[in-house]
Amino acid sequence: MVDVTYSALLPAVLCWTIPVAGAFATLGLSKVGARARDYGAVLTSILAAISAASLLPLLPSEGLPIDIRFDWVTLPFSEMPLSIGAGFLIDPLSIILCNVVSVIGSLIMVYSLKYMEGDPSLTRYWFFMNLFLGNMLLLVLSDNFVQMLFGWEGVGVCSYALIGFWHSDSKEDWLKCWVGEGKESCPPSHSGMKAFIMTRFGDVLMLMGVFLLIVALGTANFLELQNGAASVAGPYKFLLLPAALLIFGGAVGKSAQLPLMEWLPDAMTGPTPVSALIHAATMVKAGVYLVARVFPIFYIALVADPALITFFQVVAWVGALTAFVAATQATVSTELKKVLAYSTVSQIGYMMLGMGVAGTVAEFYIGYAGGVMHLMSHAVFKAALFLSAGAVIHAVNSRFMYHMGGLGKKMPLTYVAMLASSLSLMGMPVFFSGFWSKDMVLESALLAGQYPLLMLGLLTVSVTCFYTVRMLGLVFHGKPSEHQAAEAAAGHLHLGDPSPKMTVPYQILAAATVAMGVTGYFQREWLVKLFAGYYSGIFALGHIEISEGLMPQLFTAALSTLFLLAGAVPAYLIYFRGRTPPQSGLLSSIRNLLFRRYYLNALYYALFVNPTMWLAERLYSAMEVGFFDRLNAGIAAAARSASSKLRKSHAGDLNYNVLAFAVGLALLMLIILVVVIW
Amino acid sequence: MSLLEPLLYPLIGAVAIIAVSSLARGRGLLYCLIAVSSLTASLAALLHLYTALPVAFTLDGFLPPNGVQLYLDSFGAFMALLFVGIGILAAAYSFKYMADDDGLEKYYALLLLLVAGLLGVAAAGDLFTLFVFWELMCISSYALVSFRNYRWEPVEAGFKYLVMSTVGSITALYGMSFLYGITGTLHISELVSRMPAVATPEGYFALVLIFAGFGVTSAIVPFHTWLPDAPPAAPSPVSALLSGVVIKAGVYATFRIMFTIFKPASYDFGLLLIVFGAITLTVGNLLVLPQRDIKRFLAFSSIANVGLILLAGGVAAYVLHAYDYTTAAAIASLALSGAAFHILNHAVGKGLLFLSSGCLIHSTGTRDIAELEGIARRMPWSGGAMSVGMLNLGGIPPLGGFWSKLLIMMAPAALLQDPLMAVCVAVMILNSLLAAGYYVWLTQRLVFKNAPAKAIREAPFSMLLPVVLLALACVAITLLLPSVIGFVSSAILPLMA
Repeated sequence: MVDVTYSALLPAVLCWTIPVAGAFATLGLSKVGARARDYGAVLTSILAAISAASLLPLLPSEGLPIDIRFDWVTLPFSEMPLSIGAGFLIDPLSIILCNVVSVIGSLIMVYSLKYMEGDPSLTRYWFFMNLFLGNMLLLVLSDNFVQMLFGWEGVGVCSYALIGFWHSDSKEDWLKCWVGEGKESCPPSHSGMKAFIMTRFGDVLMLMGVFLLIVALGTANFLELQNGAASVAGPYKFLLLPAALLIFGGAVGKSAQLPLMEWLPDAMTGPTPVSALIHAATMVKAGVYLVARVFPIFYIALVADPALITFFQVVAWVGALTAFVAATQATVSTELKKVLAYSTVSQIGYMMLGMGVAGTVAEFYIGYAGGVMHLMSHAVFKAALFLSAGAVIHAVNSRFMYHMGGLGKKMPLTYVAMLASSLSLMGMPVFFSGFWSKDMVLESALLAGQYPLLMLGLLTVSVTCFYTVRMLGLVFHGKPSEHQAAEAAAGHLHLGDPSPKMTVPYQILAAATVAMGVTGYFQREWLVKLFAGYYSGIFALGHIEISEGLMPQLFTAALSTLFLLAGAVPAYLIYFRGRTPPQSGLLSSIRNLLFRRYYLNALYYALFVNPTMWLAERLYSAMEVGFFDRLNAGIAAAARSASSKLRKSHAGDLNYNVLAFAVGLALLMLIILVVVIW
Repeated sequence: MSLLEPLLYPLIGAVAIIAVSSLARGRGLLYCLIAVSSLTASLAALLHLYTALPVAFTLDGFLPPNGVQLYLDSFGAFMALLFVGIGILAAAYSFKYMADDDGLEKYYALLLLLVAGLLGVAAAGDLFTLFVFWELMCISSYALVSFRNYRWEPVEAGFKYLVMSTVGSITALYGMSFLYGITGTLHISELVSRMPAVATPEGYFALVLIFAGFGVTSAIVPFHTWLPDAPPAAPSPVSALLSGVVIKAGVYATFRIMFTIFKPASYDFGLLLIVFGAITLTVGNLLVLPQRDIKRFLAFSSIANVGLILLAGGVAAYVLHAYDYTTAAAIASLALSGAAFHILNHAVGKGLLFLSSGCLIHSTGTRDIAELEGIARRMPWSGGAMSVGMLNLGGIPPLGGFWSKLLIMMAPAALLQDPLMAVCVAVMILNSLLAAGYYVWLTQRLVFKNAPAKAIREAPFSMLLPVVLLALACVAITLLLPSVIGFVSSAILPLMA
């Protein structure tokens, strides 16, 4: 039992207020000087990380959860007295999440120092980066839905501003800051908008779900929701399942799961540190966090309404399908960051899978802890991958992998970091964190007896290994591309590892993923104990006997290794050894299908975007140009002609002025005569 | 504390300035300080009196109904506060603006006399007193318009103002003589009780003469012809006083005499006010459009705003005459509250616009809008404050001008089945459109165009302070909307009796 005092809880408040205050301080510091602004911004994120880390000692405590609550709004005139508090919930989930967010976030901020150097809009950059971190931390630490939504939407706004950071859509830099090729290419401003609008679909669903949940349980506070879920009143019981599914809609949007995943691959237009922040530490993890946060509520409510099992099944299936679908798209992507983007979507699918499967069984802790552990390990290795990818893109001045090649020897530090984190992504056994976390998710599916889901997960392992090896081969092996030669001739090329300000962050992260791999087993046991112990109190189950055998673990490990090799070996042969891949009409049409993103993106444009734009243009030409503009022009012309006629009467001659007075008086008399006689 | 005090301080100040000037020549700062402090004392006295309204002051041994009387009720106090408030700011503003002129003792003394005249009009208890102070106000403003008499334009404008205004004063005086003939008194409260309840042709004759006479000062078309010339030619603080408050004194006197002496229930002058108000409003707005001189632009807009206030008064008078009192009272008080609120908004807004345009003119030496394009980029404080004023008078929500126009419009809109009221609403809406159009246009020209190439310095602090205070007042009126509406609706109660 840790001594819980006010000073021990202060970091929970500081953790998010520091970056938010830092964001606004940036505006002031920018007047002081560029260095003060840059280092000030990085410093605030480091301070946030320190305050998050100072919550860690609370972790194994029996005293959790701690809910620091303040009165905020009491809704008057409502049938149910609903009091919305402001407050901070400190429990294992929020402590882990805020550490992931702030520690990785601050490493990304350090990396940005060099990466973004010389950008003319750095004040805006730092402002939104810190605001982004602050909102994400607010989201994670909030103790109720209403306050969480502030962070949730704040994250959305900041992602919009950062994805579209280079909003001038410069054609010259299109190799670096656009995304996609040919018809599907889009500039930063478009991507920012796309991310904002697509996640908004999910947010609207989520908002409705939150309302339903509040109606059903009469509170927005997470702990009270948990307490109320066991004994939900009869008439409102049927609301729980729709509420759960709608809330999951929000998670689908934010975490880019099927069918709302299309915004994320295009979000690669942002500067690389932004991509790293969105993908590794913040934003997309918000959806996973949300599911983890509502998990106990609906898990408890299963007793009252067994139909809620559907919610967990939907989560698991959406996760598994997304994992597979996104991974297949990564196999054909030509852009380095886009491979990583698809991979993020796919890995988040794993987390959802773990969370979903966990809800269907009594041994929820394997899947739940698996989801959280995969969130942590993915955050670390994906941040490393993005930051090193940023270094590569910076070096060759292009985001396309066919412009790279043969970089392994020229950028050894970057290569090593990327290799280590790639192996972690693939789930290379024992020494890499991805192995432990991914296997835990797969194991939970195995234990739950969900064999179709397990199969999808395993297939995804193969596909993941294929695209990861392909990526490594295309970027670091093989012959240098012609693009490099052309750039070198033009004198733009600076191949080689970047300055330590950039390399150190991703080397730390790569080392961390290995360290987490080496200690993987203990980490796993620790997390399982932590969550099993914590939730046993909440679920009122008494002490949970943790039942996990070694056999399922070994079996899963064997299976996943098998599938790993099945994916990695062909890719190795093709992209490292230079074997010609088999050619066939079927393969090329599959490739085309994958490259066009299963036509899902095109479908969305055809269904939603183009009709809306068409209608808007029609309305514009008919209403705006056809009617209102003409009306306005008519009013203006009438006023102008009246005024130019009238103006002749105002020549300024005093004689006429006095005459006008007389005429006016006469007019007055006339009116009065009319009035009097009438 | 007597009602004499607020009037006495500016008069004493004026005398003091002249007296001091013979000892200390050309001390602009000293004169300015005397002027500001005497006006501030007057304001303090007014505020002190405000809790005890209505107050009266009579001379011993010269009592009403024959003697003179000062009498201040809530409507008069409302106007008096505006007069002194704008007066203080204009005087303070003059310190730097007039710093290079000669004969400053005359300038500040005249300024104080002008404010004293305005105060006397607001606090007059009988028509004789009203006329005396009216002339004090007019004569000092002629001199102020022509203050820079080394140039032709002010002299011509001042002369024109003199002739027009004198014609008006005589006409009004003639009308007052009719009132005396009908009732045998000039004392307003006596007049109220002695006027026959049934309208007579002589009464109408008097009404028309007074309306036309005061109409010159309140710049009602076609008696308005001095206004496009006088404020542009006058120094900017004087323009602010003329356009901001002097013409309101005309409106005040018109409303006061018409609504209390010729009661709307007896005399049917609603149509008169509506017709002249609508004409004034429309002509003023239309003639803003071709102006290139920024001060003429503002002057014509003042004419339009007076038209709107008159129109609101007309609506009130019309419904009080044509409908039974229970229906009419609410609508009439809405219209009159709107009118009073608009008087406040226009005094503050137009004062702000003339003073801030004075800043621009002081720094650039030109009044041509084409040459002033983008000036706000060089003079952010003046330009920013001016934008607030332009948006306020343009009726852009949420600033006060929007709310006062809305209040005025709501009154006739409540009686849309009456064709005359429907026409009033239509005229108001169309004119609001024009006003919004040209003020936004002017804002765009001054603020969003590219900055002029040459280096232009922001106006000095002592000029910026009044300007910024007025801009803050515009914002404060918006923020304090409920209490401001309460204030103006209590101010017009004397008119509703």
